[in-house]
Amino acid sequence: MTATERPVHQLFSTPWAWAPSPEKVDRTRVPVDITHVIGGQRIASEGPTMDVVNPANDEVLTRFVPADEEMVGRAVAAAGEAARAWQQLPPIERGKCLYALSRLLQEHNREFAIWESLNNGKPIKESRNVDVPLAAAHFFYHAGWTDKLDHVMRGAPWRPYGVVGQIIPWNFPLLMAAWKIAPALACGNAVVLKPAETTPITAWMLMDLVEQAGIPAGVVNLVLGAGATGEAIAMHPDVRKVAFTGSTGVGKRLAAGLAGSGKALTLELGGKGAHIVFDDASIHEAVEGVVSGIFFNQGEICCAGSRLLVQESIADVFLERLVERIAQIRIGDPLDKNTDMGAIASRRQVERIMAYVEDARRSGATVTTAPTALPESGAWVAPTIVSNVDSSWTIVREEVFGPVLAVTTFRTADEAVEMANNTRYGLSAGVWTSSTARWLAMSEALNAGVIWGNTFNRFDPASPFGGFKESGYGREGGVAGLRAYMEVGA
Amino acid sequence: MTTPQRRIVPRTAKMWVAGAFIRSESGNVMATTNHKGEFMANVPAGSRKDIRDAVSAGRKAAGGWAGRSALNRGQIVYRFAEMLEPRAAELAGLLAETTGVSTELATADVAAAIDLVFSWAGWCDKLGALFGTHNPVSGPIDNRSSVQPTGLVAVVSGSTTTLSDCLLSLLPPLCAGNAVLLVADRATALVATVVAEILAVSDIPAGVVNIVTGEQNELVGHISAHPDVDVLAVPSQDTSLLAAAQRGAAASIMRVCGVTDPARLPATSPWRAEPFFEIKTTWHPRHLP
Repeated sequence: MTATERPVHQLFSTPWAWAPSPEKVDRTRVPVDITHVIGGQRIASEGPTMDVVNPANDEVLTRFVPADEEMVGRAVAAAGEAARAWQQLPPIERGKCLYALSRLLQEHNREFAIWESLNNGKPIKESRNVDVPLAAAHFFYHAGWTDKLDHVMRGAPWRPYGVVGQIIPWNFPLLMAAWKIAPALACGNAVVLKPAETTPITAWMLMDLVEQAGIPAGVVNLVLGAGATGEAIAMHPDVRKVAFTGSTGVGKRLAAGLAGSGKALTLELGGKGAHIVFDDASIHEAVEGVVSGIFFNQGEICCAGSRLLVQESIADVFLERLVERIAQIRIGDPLDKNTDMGAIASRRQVERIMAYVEDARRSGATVTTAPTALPESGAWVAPTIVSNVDSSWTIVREEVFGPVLAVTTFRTADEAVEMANNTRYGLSAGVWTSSTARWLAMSEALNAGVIWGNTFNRFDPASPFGGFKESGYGREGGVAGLRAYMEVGA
Repeated sequence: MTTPQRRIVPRTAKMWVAGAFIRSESGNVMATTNHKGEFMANVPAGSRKDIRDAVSAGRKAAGGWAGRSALNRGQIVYRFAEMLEPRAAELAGLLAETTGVSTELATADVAAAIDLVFSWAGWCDKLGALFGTHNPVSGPIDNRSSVQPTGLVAVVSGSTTTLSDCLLSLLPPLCAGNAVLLVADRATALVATVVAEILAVSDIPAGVVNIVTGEQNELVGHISAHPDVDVLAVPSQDTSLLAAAQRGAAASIMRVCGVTDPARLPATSPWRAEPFFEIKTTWHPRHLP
């Protein structure tokens, strides 16, 4: 950077204060208790309730009673029955249902965005501009596939699995529901879906739209619960295919538990994405990219660029710019339209994240935290940069799943590749360089399922997403993503 | 051919690892018999260390194999077919002796197997075009999904008694660009060692294919527990072996797949290669400065 270039925020001599700009919330939309939706019926389990909390202020939003094995059995039976009729529909009619669902979600964008932010803590700006539109697009994209699947298989015999069990995480509650439901339905399957116990609200709201879209009762079943409920779904003998997105630890337990069951399994697990910045990168853009890579969605994203690998020659300048930049991130009320970064999804998550940060600090790392004031109540972590660490440190090796960036340096491209690939994960990577040949060589050499060049955290229903190695197997989105829901050679 | 005047020199069956013909480090052998129960040969009884050495050799060779052009890989596999053809009678005779099928059927099996190698050689530089996609995302971004060999694949040939089925477990992962560790159980061990000898003259680089003979249940246990194997493929009909493989593989998120019977999915179907590659998706903005 030359002396005449300055970051934008330095052009203003006084900081501009942002006036509060909160979204209005219709509290009547979500009742005090929510229930499972099985065979089109709203059914509640009996027993102790679980609270669903707004992580930004600890307020209880709603409650539910988790499903036991018997209730799971009812959902699987409903799905099995509905699957037959669903498969017998002319494929284009299935497409029309998914198209209608997409349209309904677009129409209710604002409402879903608000409740996603209330339940997860992510800023309304993101849920409104990214989460809900992407979810709607996912249904729209898959609506178009329903009558074209034989072309995908190019003559190889195939059939839907029938009943699929799907377990999704709390970081993108609505989007993950869309990523699971859309391809499963498009390929003629019926679904038993379990949202995360901390974030069931938008999946529950979605069931209204599923009904309005004309999707027959029982094709999508919503079962609320925690780990035990998820296990019951996965282990149920009539569930022929399981799709799981969550932590690598749970994914391994699931794979072991399903051994010998004859069920198909796809996993989308953790990651520790290497975000590589070369000295010929456009520095301002790379800073924005790195910031987006680790602080988008509060860093609670499996494909986060959580390891910065910056070329030695620009490391000092780059780190300086990063530290300056994170001070500009607006943290606060997720419902405020000016908020950049929201609450962490739960207090428990905050503890986990801080344990990693404190461990690094005790071990002698340099920990730089954005000097932003955090709200008094609720679950919050400020953007954090951990530097003066290297490849063997825990904070560089393990997935933190929060707004914490570990910074390491490299000298040559070969070294960057070796460092980047030196992990059991393989989900994502980012590369910043102005050399085309270098970008192409790096994207070839990096062992990751999703590689962003001079950009980061982009998603699209037409683009297959998934990992190498311990980040899981199978893909979601695009042609490759359909394969998870089609049984070949049957 | 033994005559009263001339004894044959018996062939020693050996495993093939890192381009060398070796015995098991355990020193143990398994006696193999023909369909009449008569002794045929002692084959090495592969051990856990043999598996570890074979995995190590495969991993070392995997990068080079994947890094060659797909055309080059196809040429090498085609040469394997070339090297099989003049030895067809030998293989047919061995199969007939071992399994008890008629010479006619064995000859037909070997011919079909050679054609299978020929067909799969042609897939090497086409799988990418078939399974790779250029994805029309929303926005001015170039988005591509390409096919990348997963790396190191272990396959179990199972109790298959035909050469075609034996090669059907080897060819798809190999032609998808992976290094392959082939485990040959007692029933296929002898045929596998002859296949190794023929592979050795096919220009295939050392370590790209490694053949270990032994007791498959034991060897699958060792392989599934090994943290550096990417994919483990067993015959899908062998449900207990598949279960054992899945149990062991869970700890490292090793991919496990069942090799589908040719009656359900044609032997030349490109979908047989699908479990052996990963899809890598890349994004890059497209704009004029």
